[in-house]
Amino acid sequence: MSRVVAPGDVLRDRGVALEGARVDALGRVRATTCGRAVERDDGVGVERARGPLVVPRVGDDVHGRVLRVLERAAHVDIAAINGRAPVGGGFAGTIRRQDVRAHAVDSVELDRCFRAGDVVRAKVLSLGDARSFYLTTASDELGVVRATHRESGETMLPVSWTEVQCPITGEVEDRKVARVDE
Amino acid sequence: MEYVSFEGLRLDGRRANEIRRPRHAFAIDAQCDGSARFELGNTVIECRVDGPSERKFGGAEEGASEACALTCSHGRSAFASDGVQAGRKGDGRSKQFESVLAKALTSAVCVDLMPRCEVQVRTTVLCDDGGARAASACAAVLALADAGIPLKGIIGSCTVGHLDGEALIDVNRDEERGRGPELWTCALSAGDVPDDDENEDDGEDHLMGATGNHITVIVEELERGKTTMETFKSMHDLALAGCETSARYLRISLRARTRALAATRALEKF
Repeated sequence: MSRVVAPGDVLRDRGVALEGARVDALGRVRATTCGRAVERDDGVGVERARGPLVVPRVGDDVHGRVLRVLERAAHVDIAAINGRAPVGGGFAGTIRRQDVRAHAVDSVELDRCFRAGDVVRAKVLSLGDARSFYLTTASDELGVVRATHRESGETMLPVSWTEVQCPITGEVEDRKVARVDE
Repeated sequence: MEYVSFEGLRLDGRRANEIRRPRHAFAIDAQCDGSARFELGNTVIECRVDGPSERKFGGAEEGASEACALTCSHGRSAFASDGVQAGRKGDGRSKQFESVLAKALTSAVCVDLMPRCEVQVRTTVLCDDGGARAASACAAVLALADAGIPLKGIIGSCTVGHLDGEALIDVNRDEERGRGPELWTCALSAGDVPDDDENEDDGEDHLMGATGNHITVIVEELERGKTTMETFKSMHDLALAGCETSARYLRISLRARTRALAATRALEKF
């Protein structure tokens, strides 16, 4: 059971400050955030109760909901990063037309790959511009993992790499389907 | 009117050195990065903190300060007090309050850790029963900590009045109406051991003080000030004690909040 600290509490009289701590003018290590004092070989720091910051990095596996589909890009609200929810709300992601699939990149029509409301699995391609992260679905296991039919509200089932079907109405729609491992 | 009775009791039954009951709540607004509500008796303040975020203005020019900029805005709900009282958003009094509060909070925030960033602090008076400025400062500290902004320490704040020849801590609305001198103080409490002395000297109402081995950056403001030095001294000593008391309350509530957060996350025992 280790010590819970508030900002300003002295962690140690001398030493190296890690994350969540700082050294004051007299050389003492003080906490700067609320959390639990952690002593390690290289110094002493504070681990926050909310857990470490979950932020998308290049190569991370993300899940998100498609917000809108434009001609050149689809906008995604990132809801999970490597299976963990980001602290303090979601991040914005963008799947550009050239990043949807690995083959026949020039002939991609985005509205035949995603629709608003779909849940997609994607990889972080780059940190993108100031507004959003660039995501890619150019891999077999990436793409739409869950789509619901507009009228029936039923979850649609994949029937091929490019199509999903509503089990009630039988209607077939186009998607970039992800291979979901059981 | 008699503000302190023969028995030494004030209008609401407190003694001269007793503050009203503090209460708090964290995370009252999910829309912002950190938020808190702080109550002192019937005075209720909400504070919201946004940031640290990239500075939108004033970061690009040559010679602009690299350190994090902290801005405060202060507002009152229409029902906070009975009408006539000044202090609506944007008037001189609340502008001055904003700048003094920003100065006090900046001294507690590790501005060097967040270069080219800005932190916005918004306080709202929901109900004003006296001591709204002190309660606003306390609410701001809780909200800053809730937002996870690195702090050098906890700022405690309190007001002290002087009526019937006696210094009264944490004056309520009726006592504020007594038009005696009033001192509002914010002091950075470093806990049980001394911290680095920081000099804050810009001429007007901001003093640097050191009491015992509690250190401090003190920002204070004297309203309606026609006081003798002795009066000021007694008010000042009481104010520092009050700041330490409120800082202790804030520290305890932050630790309790941290434990509760850890428990809801079902982490290992803190």
